[in-house]
Parts: sequence; structure tokens; C-alpha cells
Amino acid sequence: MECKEVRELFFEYREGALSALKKESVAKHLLACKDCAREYKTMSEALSYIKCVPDEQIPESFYRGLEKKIEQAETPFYARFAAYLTLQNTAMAVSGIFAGLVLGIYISNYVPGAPFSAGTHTLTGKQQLAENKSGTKSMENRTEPNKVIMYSGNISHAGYDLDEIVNRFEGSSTGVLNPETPAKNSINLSKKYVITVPAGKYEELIKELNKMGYLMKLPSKKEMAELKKLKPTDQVKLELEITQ
Amino acid sequence: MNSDTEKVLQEVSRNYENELIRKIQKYGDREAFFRLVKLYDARIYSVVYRYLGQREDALEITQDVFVQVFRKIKQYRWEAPFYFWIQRIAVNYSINRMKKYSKDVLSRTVEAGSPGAVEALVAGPEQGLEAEEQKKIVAEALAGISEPFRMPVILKDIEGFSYEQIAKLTGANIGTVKSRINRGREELKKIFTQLKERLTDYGM
Repeated sequence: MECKEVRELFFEYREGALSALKKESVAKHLLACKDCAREYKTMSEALSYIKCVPDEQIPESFYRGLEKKIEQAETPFYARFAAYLTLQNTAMAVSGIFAGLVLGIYISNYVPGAPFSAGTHTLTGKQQLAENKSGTKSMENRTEPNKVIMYSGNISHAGYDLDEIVNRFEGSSTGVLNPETPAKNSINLSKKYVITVPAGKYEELIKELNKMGYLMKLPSKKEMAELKKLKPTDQVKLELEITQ
Repeated sequence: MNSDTEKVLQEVSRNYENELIRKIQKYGDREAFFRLVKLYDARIYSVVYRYLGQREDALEITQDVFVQVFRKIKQYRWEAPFYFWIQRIAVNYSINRMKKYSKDVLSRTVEAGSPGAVEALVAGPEQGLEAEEQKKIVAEALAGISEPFRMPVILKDIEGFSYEQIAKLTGANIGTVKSRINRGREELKKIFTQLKERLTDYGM
């Protein structure tokens, strides 16, 4: 094997991803060729050196900055423009809208065969929806009554805020389905988990979990005494209550 | 830690994480969000820092990544593990920021192989080298790898992602990812060789 060829296989050789045959010939080459052996050693050292680098620690300032940024991100877009909402600007905007409205009504009266009242048309549910969401589409509907208009999913659903609907739905039903669901915005992360463990491992498990920073509701002394009576192989139902 | 504890812990922490995500998705709960950030802050920050080789910028970008997470969390569809989802935002965000501010950032990164780094390397990680110094050497060495090979090397050789995962994280195909990693490793090897050569120059 040539040096160049061998060097191309270094990484796969290191990861053990080569076929037995190739692996053997690389190994042989590394024994015979000092240059390649040195290269391989450097590469291998470099990779294991970077692999074992410890993780960075987050400085305190991180969370202060993040909170500020989240605050900004949560500010609704109109609040950011609050500074521009002077009386003069508002008056100009209102008069602009009014002028547009007048012009619009004026023009629409001159479109032949297109009366502007929705009440004169019987629309299916879907079409009605579409009309609410998209004025231009419904205009087409009226000006060309013989043409079938296909409404794409996009248009008929454009106005939906799906998340809001889901929220409302779940919010109204939680009282019945899942009384334990915490009320909106209250943070209550305590949760119960029921886990079956052998009695012998019970104590050790609780200790280890506590070491990890989880706070467990420990069994009372009486329960502990009863636990001790059990055989280590008996199964114990363990109720973990995790609280912050 | 024995395997039972590990199993319980895994289950519990996954539940905890899912609970937090659901809370944020539904109510935009900020307290839950900060708890979620705490689970991943150091890991994400580490990747960003190693990529940029500069702590201040890395902090700033990590914050921005989590702001993105907060904004986009409703789009999380429970398909990939959440860590992977965050990591993808972090990777893309860092790469984009790097493109925008590359000159700015690059001018501030320290030349790999500066005397400080060399001295630190002499001791070697096994011989009680301060973790802090090792972090610096690694960050400096990685900063010497050119774009776009650096991020794939970090993801593969430090974070331990698979080729497939890196392809998804960076939005490149597997072939590209493999060749980028190989070229990045070549560069890394050269940087370490240089470090060693300078060692002999300094007479150590």
C-alpha cells in the first residue's frame, strides 16, 4: 500500500470501520513506515485530545441577557411602534384609511353585475369561510357566477390560528378529562411516577436519585420497617414524587 | 450508577423535559422555558464556543439560539429528540452568524499555536493540565480549521453525532459531510503537528 492511500484510510482505521483485509494492510504499513506512523499518532492524539475536552460553564450573565432578549422577543409588534403613535400620525393614518374606503366603495359601485352585499348570495359553509378570509376570492365568485372556484386548503384556512383552537378545546375539556392538569400559567411541575422495583434495590435507588438533585418523597419510618421485612427479590411499588 | 437508577432517571428526565416543552408550547410559560434552557445551556454554549473560538460572541449567539427556541417551540413536532432539535437551530444559527460576521470574528480569534497554547500542550491532558487551558487549546485548534469543515468536525469528534445526524443538522448530504469531516480532520492534524513543531522550537 502507498503512503497516500494509507493516509486516506486513517480515520476509518481509527474508527475500526475497515474490512479485515484493509485493516491488516494499514497496520502493516504503519509498522514499516515511520512517517505514516508519526502522522497517525498525531492525528490520533489530536482527536482524542479534543474528544475529552470538558464542557463549558455558563456564566451568570448568560441568564440576565437571555431574560432581556426574551422580554424583547415577547413584546408584541405594535408595542414596539408605540413611540410612533402620536396624535398627528394616527390622524393621518385614519384619514388615509377613510379615503381608501370611500374610493373603494365608489369603484365597487361601478363594477357591472357585482352588488356589494353578501346577503344576496347563498354560500356553502366552505365558501362562506373563504369569503371571510379572503375578500378577493369572493369577488371572483360574484363576478363570474358560472365558474367553479377551487379553494385551496391554504386559502380557506388562512385565518385560522390552529394553536389557539387547540388551546381553547383542551382548556374547556381539561376539567373533565384530567383534573390534575394545572391551571394556565401556574407552574407546577411536581409529578408522580409509579415504578416497580425489587425491594432490595429500593434504598439504593432513592439515594442515587437524591444525589442527582431530585427531591424524593421518602417513605415514613413505619413503611421503611415494613420494607426491611421483605425479601430483596420482592417487588415494591415505588411512588416517586418529583418536585422542584 | 447502576442501570436501574439510570433507567428511572432517563424516564423521569424525559418526562420532565416533555412536560416543560408542552407548557411552553401551550402557554408560552417563561418559567418552564428557563428550566428547559438550564437542561441544555452548557451543551449548546460549548458547541457554539468551540465553533467561534470566542467566548463573548458565543454567549451572545447562545442567547439568540434560545430566543429562537422560545419563538419556534410551537413548531417542534416531537419527531426528533428535543436536544437534536435545539442543536439544529444552534448549528444553523452559528453558521449563518459566522458567515455574516466572519471577518469580525476571525480577526479576534487567537492564532492557533501561540506560545500560551504550546506551553499548555506540553503538560498534556493526563498530566494534570488545568481543564481551562485544555478548553482554550481545543478552541484555538478548532478555530484554525477553515470553513465549512469546522462545524462537522466539532459535531462528529467532540459531540459524537453520527454522519446521518450531522447531515440533518447541517442540511448537507452524507457524502458532503463525510468529505468535510475528513478535510477538517486533516487540517486539525496539521494544526497539532504545528503545535508540536513549535514545541521543539521553544526548546521544550
